[in-house]
Amino acid sequence: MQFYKSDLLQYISGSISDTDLLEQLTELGLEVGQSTKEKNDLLIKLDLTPNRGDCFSLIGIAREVCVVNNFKLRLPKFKKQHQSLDSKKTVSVDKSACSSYLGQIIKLKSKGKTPQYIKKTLKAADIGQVNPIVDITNYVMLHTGQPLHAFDNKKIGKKIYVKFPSKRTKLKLLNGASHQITKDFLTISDEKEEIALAGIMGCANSEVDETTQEIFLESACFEPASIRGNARKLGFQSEASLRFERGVDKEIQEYALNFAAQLYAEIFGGDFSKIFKQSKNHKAKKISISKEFIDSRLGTEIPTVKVIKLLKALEFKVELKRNSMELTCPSHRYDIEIKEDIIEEIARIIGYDNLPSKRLKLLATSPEDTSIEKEKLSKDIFVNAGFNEMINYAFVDSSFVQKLGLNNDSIELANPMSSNQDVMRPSLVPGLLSNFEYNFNRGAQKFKIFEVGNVFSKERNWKSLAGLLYFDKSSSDWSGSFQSSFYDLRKSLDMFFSRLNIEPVYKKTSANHLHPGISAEIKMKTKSIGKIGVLHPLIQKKLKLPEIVLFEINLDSLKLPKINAIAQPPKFPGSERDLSFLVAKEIPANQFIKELKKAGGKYLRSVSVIDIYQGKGIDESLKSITFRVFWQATGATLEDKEVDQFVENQIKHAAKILNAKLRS
Amino acid sequence: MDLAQEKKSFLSKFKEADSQDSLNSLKIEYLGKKGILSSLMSRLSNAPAEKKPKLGKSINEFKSLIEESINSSLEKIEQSALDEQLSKEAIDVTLPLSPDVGSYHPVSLIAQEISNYFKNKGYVLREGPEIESEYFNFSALNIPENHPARDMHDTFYFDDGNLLRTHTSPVQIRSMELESPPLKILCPGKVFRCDSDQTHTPMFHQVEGLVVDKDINFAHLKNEILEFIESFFKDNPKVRFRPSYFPFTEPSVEVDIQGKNGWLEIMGCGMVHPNVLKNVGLNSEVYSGFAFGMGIERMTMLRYQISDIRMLFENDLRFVTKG
Repeated sequence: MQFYKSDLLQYISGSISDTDLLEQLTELGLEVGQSTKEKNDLLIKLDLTPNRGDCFSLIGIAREVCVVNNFKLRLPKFKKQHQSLDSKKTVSVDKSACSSYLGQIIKLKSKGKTPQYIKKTLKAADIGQVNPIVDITNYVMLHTGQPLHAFDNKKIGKKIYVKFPSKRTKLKLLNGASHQITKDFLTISDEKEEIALAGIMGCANSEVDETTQEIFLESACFEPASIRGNARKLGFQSEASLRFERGVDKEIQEYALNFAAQLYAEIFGGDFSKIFKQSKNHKAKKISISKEFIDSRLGTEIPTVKVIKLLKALEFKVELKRNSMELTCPSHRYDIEIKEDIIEEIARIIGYDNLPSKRLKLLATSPEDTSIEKEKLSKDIFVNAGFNEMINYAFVDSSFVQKLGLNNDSIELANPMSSNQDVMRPSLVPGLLSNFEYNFNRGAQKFKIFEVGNVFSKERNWKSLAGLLYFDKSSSDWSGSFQSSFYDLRKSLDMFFSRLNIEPVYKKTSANHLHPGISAEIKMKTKSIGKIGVLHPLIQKKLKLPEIVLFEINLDSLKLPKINAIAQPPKFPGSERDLSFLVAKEIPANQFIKELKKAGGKYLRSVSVIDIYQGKGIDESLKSITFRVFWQATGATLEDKEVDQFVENQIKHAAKILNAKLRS
Repeated sequence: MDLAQEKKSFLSKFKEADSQDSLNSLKIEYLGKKGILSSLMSRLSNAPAEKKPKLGKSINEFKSLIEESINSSLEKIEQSALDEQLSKEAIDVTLPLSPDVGSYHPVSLIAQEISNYFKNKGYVLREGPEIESEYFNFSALNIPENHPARDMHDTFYFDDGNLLRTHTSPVQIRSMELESPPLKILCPGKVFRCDSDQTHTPMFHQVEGLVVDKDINFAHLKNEILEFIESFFKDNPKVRFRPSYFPFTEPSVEVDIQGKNGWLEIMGCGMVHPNVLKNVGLNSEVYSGFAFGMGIERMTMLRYQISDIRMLFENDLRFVTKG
């Protein structure tokens, strides 16, 4: 709603400075979106909330300004025009959708011109000039909030129906567009056909123009429920639908009609028919509210006299009962329905800033979602390990997902903003790769990035954690300390698992987007929780990317670490032996370690790999692997003889299970 | 052989000895088994009895002199050898290094700060699904179909009728359905609206607070918000509460702070609408509550003086690592 201050002042019995007016409007809940000083006037744009349909009018806004300033609202009175025109019209109305319908035939005596003051008001509201007939209807709407519609009376029949159509119909509207309308669009029709979409826009077949000599002027109250959503279905909002959707004052139709009639008389000169009217009595809404309720909800005591004064100023009728007030709501306030609405009215007029504040003493007891804690812990660990956090949109480009060979199971958005954000991300990998590309193209050479977020497939969604590592070796510095191999990334991941106090195993795997030889599935017992590996060379080539290492794991499948007792370290020294084996190349180290642990006796503490060798001097099918095994007992120093026995057991076991030979 | 002469002779030899080797041979010459000292000692036994004690003492003093002089010289030589070796090992301590400095995304940092603040005030963190049903996102929150309030949310839909939540408010409903009052929760999370310009991105983050119990009132809401603002904005800005409209709160409030160029909107809040309480089976005559919500990106932009929200999602390493 956009208007000039001077137009508003017509209705106000006092004067008010520009600054005060703007501040008051916002503090009343009628947010000033913009204000522009123009010569001798102030142009004000209000960003109205959907509940305040009543303020889509100058009278409505003036009413509010009067209340806070203790001014009187000055409403001009309009007399009925002398009804000398003897014309026939019958009106039949679906009263469930239209609570009142008024119409008057006006024979225009001369050609009129839109006066300057009307042009100014329309321009302020950003409503284009059409012709004097239409301009008057818009002008009256801006003042009263009542949309009016003028039909060319020569183009319509003698009978007017307000009804839902019995079948789908095609209409051509005033804006030139044709629409198929369904049975849930309320229409105005005559004996032959639809002549308007009720509360939205008239049809071209009954349009007024410069040559129109006689109009049928409609002033109706359509129920919000019968209008809501319909304009949006057609893809536009009209000034009329904007107001009807929010609710128009049920008692203003005749006032608006007389207002317009007077303008037609002034500007064109006219003969007026009687007013054709169909309406049902509407019951004013009643709300009963007690002082205790008001005080308890506002957290302070408000004197009843003050409440009554303020509500009366807002045009509520107040009747005092023994323990409560019986309020009758003014017809222009569609939004007031319950006691809490009255609380807001009281708070609003007193001013939110003038109400007290009080400390809340309340403790809740329920525990936090572990998923939130897990997300935070994951972020902390990776940031501490030198990773940079990324936050990507949850929707990605389906063709990119396809190029990566990720699952085909992604959920499509019905109304994406663009084709490169058309599916919900099935993985965090596409996002991280985009981050890589963006930064790589801008000269970044070192990547250690990660993201935590939800990923989606048709069956389910889960919280995922993914990381990416890359280092351009040509830009290595003198220290050569930054490395980006598969193992470097796995080390970060191992560190993460160790912080969570879990020991998943890595198993060679094949995933579409990963190098078949340099990738692993991460498993907890039998459950797969994620993958790590080098981006598949074919994808590297296709996307012109270098050798990047990636991981992604399902955070939902991990638990927060349990709190364990911390054991005292053993006091007696341990023993260490290095064992070199020759074994088939394919045997993974973790399997070998598992077997060594199995056969190493109860004092075995750790097995690490200190050397791995393949090549000269060793059969091509074999590798040499050297373990450092460490034993330690808690109650005594282990004797060499004992350790010798452990070693012997391990050698035998390894020979039997893995066909491994000890190297001399 | 005169002791004094021996002493003089030693001192002149010692003066000459400037290496480890010469000092060691001097040591042997005097202190060795067949050294000068031991021959002096053997001669002591032939000396007259009355002279023995004095002579013996002089010999011992001479021995100490020899030991101390030679040892201290040896130590000095060792020290300087070590000094020389260590100085050869010296490195350039100023060579530049490039440590891996990890970083939280600025939005994460602010979300964390806000969450921590409210956690310390006894709020419990809750989260909910990003793909929501019409019911939780709209209907349960008193936003009926076709209501103009739905125009305030440009919603992403899926073919099955579900949608991407347009606010974190559905978590209110989910929490109230699961737990009974007293309830004091905070829900941070991603939300989605089809919109993109300098101040809007199709995905952003919100944090939503909800308190429900008996006798919760507007004064409590005001205080909670005022204290938060005081904590978050270090310069103690002027605060304005003004009427607004959200279908799920009544009264509804928009909160502004005074910025350099006028008022800045920072959050919406209000008393929980009775229809919302009714939808989760709570009697609004008995229970009341308040809710508040803010955009984390907006708070991030205010904190770091960022003017274009889209920068936050470009994930430029020169930008998102600087929070």
